[in-house]
Amino acid sequence: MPSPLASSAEGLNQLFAALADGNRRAMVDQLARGPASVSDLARPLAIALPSALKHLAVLEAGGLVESNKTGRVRTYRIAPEAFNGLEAWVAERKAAWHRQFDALDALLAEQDESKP
Amino acid sequence: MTTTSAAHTSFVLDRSFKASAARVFAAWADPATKQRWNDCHAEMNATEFSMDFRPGGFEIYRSQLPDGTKLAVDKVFLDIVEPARIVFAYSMAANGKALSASLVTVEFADTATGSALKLTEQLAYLDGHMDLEQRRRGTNDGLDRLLLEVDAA
Repeated sequence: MPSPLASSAEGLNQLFAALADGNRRAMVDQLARGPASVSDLARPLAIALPSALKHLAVLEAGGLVESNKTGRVRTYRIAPEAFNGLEAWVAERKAAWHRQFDALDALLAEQDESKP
Repeated sequence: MTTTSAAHTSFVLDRSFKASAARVFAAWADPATKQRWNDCHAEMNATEFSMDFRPGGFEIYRSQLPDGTKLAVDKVFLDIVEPARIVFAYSMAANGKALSASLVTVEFADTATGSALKLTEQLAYLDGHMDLEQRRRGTNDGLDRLLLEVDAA
């Protein structure tokens, strides 16, 4: 299956929108390390399950993650075709920059606090 | 697909900071400070890092990912105007195969509430990804197998 993301401008907009949120980027980071359940993904972010489900729905619509249900547990994973091709690489680079800018922001705030 | 290819694109990122342009610029210019917010150091095992912040100076970064992939990032600073602009070129390679090469322009400007940063990246996407994708699939297969085993247990 070709990546739905790389195939159209609309797909790209959806992809970038999906990655525009800090919680969703954190979810993608965690899923990049391996499949996880909704509660596994909600816990480190300290968000409620319905909120986590909404974020995951956006990521799934963006073609970044996919899920399957085994018994009562729905397991999410990175869509195998998600990070494929130029556009997806750009999305990864953008997410990486934003992650670094978040860290830079926090570092600058920390410097402010440590001032007498 | 051909064995060598290059595709090109560019993107712009805008961020605002509470700190002044001078302070944000300084966080890019000072190697010790930069290591504290740089992705590479926060999340990966760096095996080598050096940064020579001047036009013509290099920033070199090497790491080994958990799957054994050797990642290399080579950067050269092309233009530095303190505290307003940094232009650099960088390439990323995995196990010696080029993934991408970019020209990046970072502009810093004071605003009423702090400062604004504008990053423009012009990027060439190269063939090393074909190898990387194969390796990723290998890793995913491993994870899938592990998941099946855990589920079965």
